[in-house]
Amino acid sequence: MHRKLIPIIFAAMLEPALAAPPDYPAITANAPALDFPQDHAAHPAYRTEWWYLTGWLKDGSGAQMGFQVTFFRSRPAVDQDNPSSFAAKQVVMAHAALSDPRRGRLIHDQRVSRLGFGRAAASDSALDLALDDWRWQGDAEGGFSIRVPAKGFALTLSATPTQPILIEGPNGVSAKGDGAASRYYSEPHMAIRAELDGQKLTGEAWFDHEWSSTLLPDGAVGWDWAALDLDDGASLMAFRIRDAAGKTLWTGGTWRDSGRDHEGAPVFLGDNAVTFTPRRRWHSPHSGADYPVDSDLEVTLNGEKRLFALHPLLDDQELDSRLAGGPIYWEGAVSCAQGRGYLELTGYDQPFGRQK
Amino acid sequence: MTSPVLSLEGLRRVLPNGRELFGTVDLTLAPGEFVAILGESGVGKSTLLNVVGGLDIPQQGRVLIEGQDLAALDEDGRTLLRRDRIGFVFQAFHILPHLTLWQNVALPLVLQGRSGEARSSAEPLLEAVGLGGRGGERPSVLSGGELQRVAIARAIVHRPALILADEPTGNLDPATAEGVLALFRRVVAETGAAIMLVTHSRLAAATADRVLTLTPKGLADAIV
Amino acid sequence: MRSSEATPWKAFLWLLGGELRAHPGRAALALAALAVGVALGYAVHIVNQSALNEFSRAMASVSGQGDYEITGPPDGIDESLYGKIAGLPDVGDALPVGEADATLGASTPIHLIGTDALHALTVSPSLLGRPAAGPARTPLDDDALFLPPALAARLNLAPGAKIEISSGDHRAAFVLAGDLPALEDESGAVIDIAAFQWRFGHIGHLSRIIVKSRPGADLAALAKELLAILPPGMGLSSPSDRARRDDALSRAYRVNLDMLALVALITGGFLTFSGQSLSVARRAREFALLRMLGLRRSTILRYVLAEGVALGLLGAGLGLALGAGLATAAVRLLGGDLGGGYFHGVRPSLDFAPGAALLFAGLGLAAALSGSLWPARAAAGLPPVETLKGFSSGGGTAGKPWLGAGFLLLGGGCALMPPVMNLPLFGYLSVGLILGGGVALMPWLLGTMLRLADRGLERRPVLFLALKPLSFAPRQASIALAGLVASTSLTIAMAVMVASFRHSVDVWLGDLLSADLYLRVTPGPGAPDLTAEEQARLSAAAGGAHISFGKTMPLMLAPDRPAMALIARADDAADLRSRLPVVKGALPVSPDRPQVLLSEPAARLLGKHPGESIELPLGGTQRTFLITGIFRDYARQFGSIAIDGNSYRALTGDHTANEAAIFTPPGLDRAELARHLRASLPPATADRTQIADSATIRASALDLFDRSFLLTYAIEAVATLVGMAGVAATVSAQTLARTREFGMLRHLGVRRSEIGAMLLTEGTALGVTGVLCGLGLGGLIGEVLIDVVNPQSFNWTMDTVWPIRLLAAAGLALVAAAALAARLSGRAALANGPVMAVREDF
Repeated sequence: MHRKLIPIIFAAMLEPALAAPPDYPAITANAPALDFPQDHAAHPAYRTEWWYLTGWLKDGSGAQMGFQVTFFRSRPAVDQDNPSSFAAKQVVMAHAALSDPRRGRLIHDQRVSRLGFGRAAASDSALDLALDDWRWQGDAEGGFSIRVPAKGFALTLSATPTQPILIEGPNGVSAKGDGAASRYYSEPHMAIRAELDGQKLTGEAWFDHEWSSTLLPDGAVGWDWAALDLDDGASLMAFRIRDAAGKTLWTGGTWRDSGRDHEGAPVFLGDNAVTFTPRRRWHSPHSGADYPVDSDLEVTLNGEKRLFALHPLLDDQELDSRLAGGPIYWEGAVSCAQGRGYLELTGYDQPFGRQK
Repeated sequence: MTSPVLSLEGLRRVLPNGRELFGTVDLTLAPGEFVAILGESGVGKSTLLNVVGGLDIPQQGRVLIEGQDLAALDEDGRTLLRRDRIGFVFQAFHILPHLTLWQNVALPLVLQGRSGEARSSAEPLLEAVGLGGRGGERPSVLSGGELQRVAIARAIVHRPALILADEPTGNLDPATAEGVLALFRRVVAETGAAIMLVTHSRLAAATADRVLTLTPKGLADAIV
Repeated sequence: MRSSEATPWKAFLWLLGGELRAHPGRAALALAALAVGVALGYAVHIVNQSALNEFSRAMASVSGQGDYEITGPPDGIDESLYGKIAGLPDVGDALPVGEADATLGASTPIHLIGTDALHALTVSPSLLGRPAAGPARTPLDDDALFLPPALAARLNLAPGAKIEISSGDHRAAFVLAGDLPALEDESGAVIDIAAFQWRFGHIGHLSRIIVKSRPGADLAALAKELLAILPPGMGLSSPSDRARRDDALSRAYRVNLDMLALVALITGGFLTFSGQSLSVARRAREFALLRMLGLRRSTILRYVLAEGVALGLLGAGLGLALGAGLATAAVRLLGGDLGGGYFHGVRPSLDFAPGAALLFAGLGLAAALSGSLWPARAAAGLPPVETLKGFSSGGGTAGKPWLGAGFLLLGGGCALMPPVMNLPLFGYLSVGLILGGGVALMPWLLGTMLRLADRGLERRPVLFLALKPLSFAPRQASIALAGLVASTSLTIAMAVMVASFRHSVDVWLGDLLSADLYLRVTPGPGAPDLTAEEQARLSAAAGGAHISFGKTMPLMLAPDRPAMALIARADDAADLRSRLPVVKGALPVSPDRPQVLLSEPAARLLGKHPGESIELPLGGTQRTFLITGIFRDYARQFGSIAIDGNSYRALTGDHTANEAAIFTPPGLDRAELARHLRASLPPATADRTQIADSATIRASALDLFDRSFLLTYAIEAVATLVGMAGVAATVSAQTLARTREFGMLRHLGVRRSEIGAMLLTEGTALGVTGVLCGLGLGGLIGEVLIDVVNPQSFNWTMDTVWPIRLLAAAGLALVAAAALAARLSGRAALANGPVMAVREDF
């Protein structure tokens, strides 16, 4: 779940009175089952949508680094009658970031554009996203190739699924609290072959695809989220939604077992089944925010508590997406005794959705 | 007896500050008569002369020029009387720099509209004052004595009945002054005009037929 | 004890103080003249400069950090170009911009900018709105408006405030969503590009595209990529090109205005000259006395020059203050435009440029100093003894005409020189030389005239007494006239120039508007022009009237030069020629070669003559055309090119039109026809169509002309007033200097009224002479303005016309001023009575 990435430009709370406002579909518990490969493609009617790949790479010498590539699609609340080709009825934004301990901090680049004029595209018939010269193209088997010639690094990669698609919630509907829900599925443990600035790398990554029109319940200011590819082949996604006082408003997650079972049914973690306990906070010299980068993630699985003590690959994995109209947040590679994954901490700079 | 050129009868002049000048003045001037009026500075010699010339108005008394009461004339009438019957000689000469000598002399004739006879009248007068043949010159080349001689010629060119001279030798050295006065007396005598000369110079006054002293109590015969 | 070598300045201060106490009015007038000159110059300069800066700043603000900017014709760039440009390999980002003049609320003019916030940050961050907390609008919202903080504060608008924006026929409501903290264009207002296109009728069009190179890309390579895909007629420029073009756009106009303001300054200089000369003459005895007391010539020279410096400094200081005030008032009342139309809608915050202030103060000082130089030399050269006697007062002979004639000849020579850096610098030098030569010729001229008038003068005592002083010292009289002649001639020159221009424009309009009705279509969304079908409908609706379609469009020939206009009109070449005011060439029409006619500005700017050929981008390729003639066009300073309609359609395949001329048979009701024509068009097109009869167009064009020359008229009026004041001052100074003479004359029996008449005569004589000389000189200078300065500044010619009535009125006013001044100052001279006047010292 990557609500953090709803850029401010999409986060109008009091919408203007429009002659022809966009009609956003609602998501209900009895939504139809997800349909692949069609549902890999864009769902332009919904307010927001993203395709999100996070993972770990290593080079020939065995040095590790984290990476993330994300494409967002958004449907801003603009007048649907505007005949202008520039009308911002769909906006595409993309991020790419590397967390290389040798560089000491996260490097990233971003792109944003409204749909059209060859600058941005998000196909609704197949996974095919384009933003200027950045490209994300899927294949029929659930794999894809990504090309991101970013500022400071050039990354191309191909991702191949090694496990079946994991639906994140009953019927692919992920509940987020009072009145909020999304369609959400993942492909954990994807095999990555990458080329970074001419250097061949391999690795493992977690793919998310999520879309919704009402992502957050009232009162939410941010969340902690983690997705872990465990070494034994199991997969864990867990999140909690916080209010202004730091109290947990809602939790959720999915567990899929290792070994033979991982083609079996996922276990959905209900409300109150997830806790994040900070062990150490890192003070960002850039934004001044304090992030709980060392946390204990504890999930209650079938009545049994399991602890995942998360450690960041490096402390400074803060991502400033204001250049593309987004927030400042922490998105970083983490490891624990059982495996590796990504941790996302939003709303620590200021309440999410109120950034300027 | 011919009628007098000038009669002053009971003349009084009070300054705006209330100070009375020269008491009460009575004076009669016959044609051809040359009277000099002496007096200390500030006693009102020049004012008396101005009153006579119709340039100043007395509070009391009458000024009669050839029997004409000045009080009966308006400003224009007095000006015309001056133009026709009076000649002036000033201490500071007042020769116009932009006119030639003969033009300066002939100015009163031109003013009377007698420009036809202007040059022919002016040249003999310049001759008479010792500047013969120099009528075409500009005043800037002349000395003070010469300038005053031009002024004298100007004062008589239109044959006035009365010539008023205010300290005519005041700007001249004694020798020049003597020459100018002698000339003055001679050329005026030829025209038969009466002269009223005010001066504080006894030497200048000595040229006159009659010398009077102006005092705060009026005119008195002077002891020369 | 030996005297010190140093100049005794203490004595100078005593004398100056005494002079100022005795005659404060005289110094005040010279001061006022200088101050007005400096003020006008400074005010016009800073308003223009500030407007240009504002204009450039507004442009630069929009273009921000862009490396290149693509500009199109005034009716916009096809938006599809935006995508093509954004896709080029060396382009890092591209920003679409739509711009329009608009009104915010009831009456606040704004520079409305539609742009894309998603790309503004990387290309031009100053255009990125900063959303305020309250109204919850993002820059992408259809109704989100962002204003510079100063503008919002001035209008008292808080975030969330609803306000309407109108532009042309369009209006839409917006919500103040936040501010533009970095925008330097203080009248800028930013909305989303989609809202801009939709709400204000610009669907499909952009005003410009700003390009930011990919980091590390070679700019020259990028320019090549861009040029390869730009359609013909599009402009590509870098910020430096743009600055150059902005400057070129209004440079000649601004230089002309600056020069006009200098006219007032020059007049001030001449008035100083007159005033100082007379003051020296009046104080001749004082200077002679000082010489007698042991002051050296050089000290006297220094005294008078020091007076000039004091006058100049004071005048310059006052002038700067006055100028700043004038500029502020002008900007408040007129905006930054000052009538030229170049900075329409620009409301500059004034930049009180210290450099310009120094320049104009320096010019004022120079005028005062040069005006004092000759009088100072005269004062130093006075022979003390003669002067004390009262006979030498700087008078002199009429002199020889050679110096003045030489100046005039030199001025004539300068008029034949070509422009320098596109400015008629030699033309202005010629104006200065002619003016100086004319003034230098004055003594000789006056002396000669008076010698002729001298005969038999004695028979008229008043005339005699009035004119004698003039003919005695024509030089001094000329000095008195210098200010009058200078201001009169410059006023007349301007009047002749403007009248000629107006007349030529009038005649040109008459030639151009040969039809009875004109129809024009303003480009609208989707369909900018009249289609062939709409043209057919109009033809059918015209009935008995003949309707001839045409099309006028911008044609960009070079990126750093404003677009020319391409006029496709009439049917064939012969028809075209009959409908244009052809002034030169008129080569026979050759049926086998494509041919065009150039307007005067186009011919001059391109350096082309009839019979030569020219390459033009038409129909997507460069084609060669024969130039068959030059026509007059005052509407387009940057040039226009005319081609007959048949050739245009054959070469381009473009059968649309955006204008039409309608020739009606006699007796037809034109208003009815206009209604009929409009009714034949589809409503959307009819809304964009204007139909006017030629008389209305002509009247409104002339009205526009008069408004744009408003400032010129104002400066003329000031020059005339300064001239009148100068005449009054010099004449009255001269009169007062002759108080003793009048006193003596009164003694000799000259009536007051006669002295009055004499002064009236003298003043009139001076006035008439000054005005006649001014007329002659003004005529000459006017010809230089018409035949040299204007063609070199604006690239067009005009026919000379003398505005007889205006000239007569101005002349009479000046003569009357002189006469009246003499008469009134005569009264002052006589006020103390003849008795006081003849006293030795007073």
